[in-house]
This record gives sequence, C-alpha cells and structure tokens, in this order.
Amino acid sequence: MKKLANLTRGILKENPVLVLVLGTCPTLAVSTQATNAIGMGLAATAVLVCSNIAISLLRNVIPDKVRIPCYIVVIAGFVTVVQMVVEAYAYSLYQALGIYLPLIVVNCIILGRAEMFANKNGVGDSALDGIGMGVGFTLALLAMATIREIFGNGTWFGMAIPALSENTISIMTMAPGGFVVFGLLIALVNKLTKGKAIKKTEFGCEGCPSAAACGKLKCGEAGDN
Amino acid sequence: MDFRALVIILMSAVLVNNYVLRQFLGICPFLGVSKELKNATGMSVAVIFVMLLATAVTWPIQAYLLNPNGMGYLQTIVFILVIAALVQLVEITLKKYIPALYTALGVYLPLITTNCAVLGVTIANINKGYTFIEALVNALGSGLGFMLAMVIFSGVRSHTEASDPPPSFKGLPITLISAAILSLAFFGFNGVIENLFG
Amino acid sequence: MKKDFVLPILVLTVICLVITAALAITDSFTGPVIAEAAARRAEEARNAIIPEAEGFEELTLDGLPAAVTEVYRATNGVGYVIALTTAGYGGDMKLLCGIDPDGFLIACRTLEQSETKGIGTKAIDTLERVLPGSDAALEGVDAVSGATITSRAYINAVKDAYSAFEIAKEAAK
Repeated sequence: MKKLANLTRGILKENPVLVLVLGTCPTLAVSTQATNAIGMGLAATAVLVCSNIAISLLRNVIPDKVRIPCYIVVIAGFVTVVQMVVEAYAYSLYQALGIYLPLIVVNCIILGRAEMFANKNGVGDSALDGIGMGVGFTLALLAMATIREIFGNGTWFGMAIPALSENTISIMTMAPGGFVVFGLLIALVNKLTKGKAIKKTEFGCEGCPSAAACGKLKCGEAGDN
Repeated sequence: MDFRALVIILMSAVLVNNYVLRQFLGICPFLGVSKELKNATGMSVAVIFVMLLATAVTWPIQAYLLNPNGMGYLQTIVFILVIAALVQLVEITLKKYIPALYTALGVYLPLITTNCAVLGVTIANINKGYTFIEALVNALGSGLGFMLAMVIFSGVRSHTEASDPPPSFKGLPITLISAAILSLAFFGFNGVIENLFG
Repeated sequence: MKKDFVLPILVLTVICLVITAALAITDSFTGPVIAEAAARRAEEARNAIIPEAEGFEELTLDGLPAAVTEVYRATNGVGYVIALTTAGYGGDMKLLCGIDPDGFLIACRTLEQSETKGIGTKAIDTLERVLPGSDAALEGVDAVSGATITSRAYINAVKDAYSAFEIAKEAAK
C-alpha cells in the first residue's frame, strides 16, 4: 500500500506543479504545444527517475557537507545524456525545447526530490516517487498546453480543431497567456479543494530545495528556484 | 565591433526579450522575492553581479577549453558547477572583505545557484554565437531586465497584496495574473528597438 | 579535522570523474548519430531549395565574403546553393540561398534563427516570399518596416550569396 502511495502521491495529492508550485519556469515556457509539453515532461521524468535512483544508491556514500554539489553533478550528468539522446533521435523536439532542455538541471522539482525524498529512502521507493512526480509534472504541463494550444492556435497535438482554428486567441501561446492560464489553473485547484490543497499560497520555504542553503532567511521572505 | 550592435543587444535584452516576462527564466525569485522593493532590488543586484561574473568565466571555458577539445557535451555540467563555485566564492569573499555588501546581498546568493536565469544566460550566449564582449553586454542586459521586471512588479505586488480578490484567487493566482498584465505591457516594446536603432 | 575536508572533496571529485566518463561514452554513441542526422538534414535542405538537382558537390573557393560558410554546386548544373551565417537581431541566423546558373534567385530558407517572434520572423517570411526570381540587383526587395535589423541582415546575406555565386562561376571557367 505504501508503495502505491509513493507512486500516486506526485500525480495528484502532491502534484509538483499545481500543488507544490515547483518548476514554474519550464511549465510556463514549453506549454505552448501539447507535443512539446509531453516531450519536456518525458525528458524531465527520465532525469528525475534516474537521479532519484542514483542519489538513493549513493545516499550513504555522499558526505552531508557536499551533498548539494554532488546532487547537482549527478543531475547535470543525466540531463546531458537526455540532451544528447534527444538531439540524436528527436531533433524537432530538441529544437522546440531549445534552451529549456539543459535548464532541466535547475528544475527545482528534481533537486527538491533528491533532497527531500531520495536521500532518505530506498532505491525502489525513490524510483516510484520519481515516476509519480514525473507523471504529475507531465500531466500538469499537458493540461496547460492543451488549454493554450486549443485556444491560442486552434489545434491539439497539431490537429486542427473546427471553429476554433479560425478564431484563435494568439496571445494564449505568448508569454502573458502562460501566466494567465497558470494563474487560472491554480485558482481552479484552490476552488475544487476549498483552498486546502495548495501547500504554498505564497512562495515560502516549505518544499524549497534551496531551503537548506538559505537557513539564514526568514520563511516567506525569499523564494526558491 | 560596432557600438550600435552592442546597444541593440543591451536594449533588446532589457526590454524586448525580457528574461522574466518573455522567456520565463527566473520566475521563482520573480514571484518569491518581489513582495518588497528592498528585497527585489537586493536580489536583482546579486543576479546581475553573478550573471556578469558567470559569463566572464564560462564563455572562455567554452571557447578555449571545451570546443577545441571536442567536449562541447560537457557544457551543462561544467557551467552549473562553475556557477555554484562562483557563488560560493563570492559569498566567502564578500563576507571577509566587504561585510557591508555581504549583509545586503549575502542572503540572496545561495538562491542564485539554482536560478535558471543565470545558467540560461550563459548557455544562450554560446548558442547565439556572441563574441566575448557581446556576451558580457547580453548578460548585463538580461540582469538589468530582470531587475526592471522585479522592481516594477514589487510595486504591483504592494497593490495586489492590499486588494481583496475572490478567495480562490488569493495569493499566487492573482500574482500570476498581474504578472500576465505586466508581460502584456512589455509587448509595447516590440519593434521599438529596431525602429530606434535600425 | 583534516579528514573532514578530504573525504567530501574526494567523493565529489570521484562523482565528477565517473559522470564525465559516462558522458564521454554516451557521446561516442550519440555523436556519430547526431552528425549523421545533421548531414542528412543539410542534404534535405539543399534538395528543398533546388528540387531539380540530382546531387551536390561542395566547392572550395577563395575570397568568399565572411558570411558565406559553404558553397555547393548541383552536379547536373541546375544551380548553386550557398550556406550563410549572419548576425540578425536576436543572434546568429543561418540560411541557405539557391541561385540558378543565369543569376536568378531560386529560393531562400532560414535553417536557424532567434529573431523576435511575430516581428523578425514575419519579416523573414515576407522576404522569403518576395526574393525568389530576383537577380543580383534585388530590385523591389526592401527592408520590412518594424523589423529593419532582421531584414537588412537577411538582404545583406543574400547579396553575399550573389558574390559567392559570382566567385564560384568565375572559378568554374
């Protein structure tokens, strides 16, 4: 039962994007098309699962003092592998994701799970946690991208949608559309759960992977990334 | 190297291709540290400083160390390590030699290591094929653009914090929607630079 | 005390080395695939510019303008394809220009660009519609207003393509 909880937690109850509000940069940036959202989601999931497994395996080897640099190196390694594989076998995705592909390194979902879960739990649980969180991230991205692509471009996964494709609201695919849709989605989660779900109504320290590094800061004074 | 090209790079990084409002880099500090003007400026100054420093170090590494040896694939890992080390170094140096500056910026420095705007600007400088000087100017412009967005947004935040939105929109949602309006306002700069300096 | 320092640094160094080695191994697998795919894309892009060409041979020429990176000649003599890299508004722009043996432009295509979406990119679309058929004088081809930097960079690149074409023709004699 606990194993199942490790897997499903990331998908709904602790959805990294809509509930924990982590990884906002890629969420806003690549959610203009459903295909890009899936690509980004899969790339990040692959990195997340691999880094969770590696860090869980190494959790007794890595000294506490240098754990954050070690995590960063491990994550950057997996990101580079994903980068090379995507460039070799899915070049159009490589172009669509552009600079956001290497920036998976600083996606705080990944560092956050390393710090909060993988360095305390076994390999199996960490892998399940990685899959769950990755799927949650992908689904949230897909939800954003679906709304933005359908209204902004009149298509879904590139397929034209009758009526909407002649009346597109192109601002939805641009930067302001990203902010609006994300705001509305979080408001919707708030509404559905009567304000209980969102762990962070403000950007505070809980769930922040840099929290350990910024112990000097009072909570709520500074955000995470 | 003509001066006009540098002005164009600088101005377009600040206004047109604003990192926060257009390219979604550095959203977390933008939403998290923008509540008060004092924190917003402190964070921005620290970001500008680290962006310039990181570019000054990573550009030569890519051009003279990685590329000639066919190790371009180490870019991501080297850059993030350099940034992390630089931030540590700056923190220690400031603490020891300029305590006044450390009290002002010190708290923001650890947050910058994983700030995607800093890693983003160093990678973008390489991807866009900028020369060393152009890269530095682009880093400065991106940092200034970050600061501009932070400072303006802290002003907007002071109003949204005092307002009374529907309960579901309290907190993050209303902040995001005001960010959308600010981002929309920056669309007004489209084409301005090209027409001024073109 | 000393051990407190040595161990963490040692572990970090070992992890760095292991990861670097792993990346080098991955690169040895994906590197050739990436290079091959890039070569295939370049070939396809050249064919898209001059579909009548049976194949292309790369020419080695002296005195080419700085923006010109490669010059190709269609093996059946239906034209030349010139690859250029020029500084646009948002960074480097890479484009291909096809010119027929009589000096008329067949087509131009951008391969990579980071111009402002909706402004610079629109100017590129406009130019790519207007340019085909024009000769070296580029009559009636003007900078698109609102995106003068992008369009001037593009037009200058096309002019460089003509110079490369002249050099290539001269060399063939």
